[in-house]
Amino acid sequence: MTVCLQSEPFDVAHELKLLVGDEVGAVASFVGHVRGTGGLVELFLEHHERLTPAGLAAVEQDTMRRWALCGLTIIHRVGALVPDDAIVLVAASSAHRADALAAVEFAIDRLKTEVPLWKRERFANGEARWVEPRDDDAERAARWG
Amino acid sequence: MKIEYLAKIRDAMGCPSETVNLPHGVTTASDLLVWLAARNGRSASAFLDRANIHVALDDRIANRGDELAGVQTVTLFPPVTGG
Repeated sequence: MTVCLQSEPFDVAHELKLLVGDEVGAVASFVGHVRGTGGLVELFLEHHERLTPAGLAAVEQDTMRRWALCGLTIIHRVGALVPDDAIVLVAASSAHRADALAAVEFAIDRLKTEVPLWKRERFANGEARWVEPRDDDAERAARWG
Repeated sequence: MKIEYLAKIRDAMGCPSETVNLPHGVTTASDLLVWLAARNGRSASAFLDRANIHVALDDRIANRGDELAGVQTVTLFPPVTGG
């Protein structure tokens, strides 16, 4: 299992390869990227040095408990990112596809609504604003009970 | 007691943290939010959306009714937006 908070970019192909093994029949993944719409020039990911790692670990533990997985990787970047940068990777491996696919969806839904991380957008015109939570993120997370 | 402010709450308060002496009667996280909001105009603005502020007590996510007795650090933060 890999749970990591880092400012450096991650290598998706490398991370997915690490999840492959003799008992693995499926690897599913989600990669979130910075959108460059609306003149956005920077997305800053703020975290808390103790609450954020604890939140990621809780998502990892709940995901492993809920689904029959061989492996799970959650990597979230922090600090200043630019359009097209990858923000987050959630990847899961399992014997059959259903568990890996569901686990990835569950983990990213939980992460987006429960892990202490905050986005601040900065635009080409000099404006900056904190991103507000989206109702549909909360609705998606609520589906899991 | 140390109070940490994160993200837009920190921006609104103008500082990342402060140390306070709780007045008599402030015993829960909910009491603390009400007291902070009433201190001055800046606090009132920062805690205007009080219902959506999350609380951690000594690095554990807490409920509004949780007691502050024995707590050393309170962390206040807005709804999360990672991922």
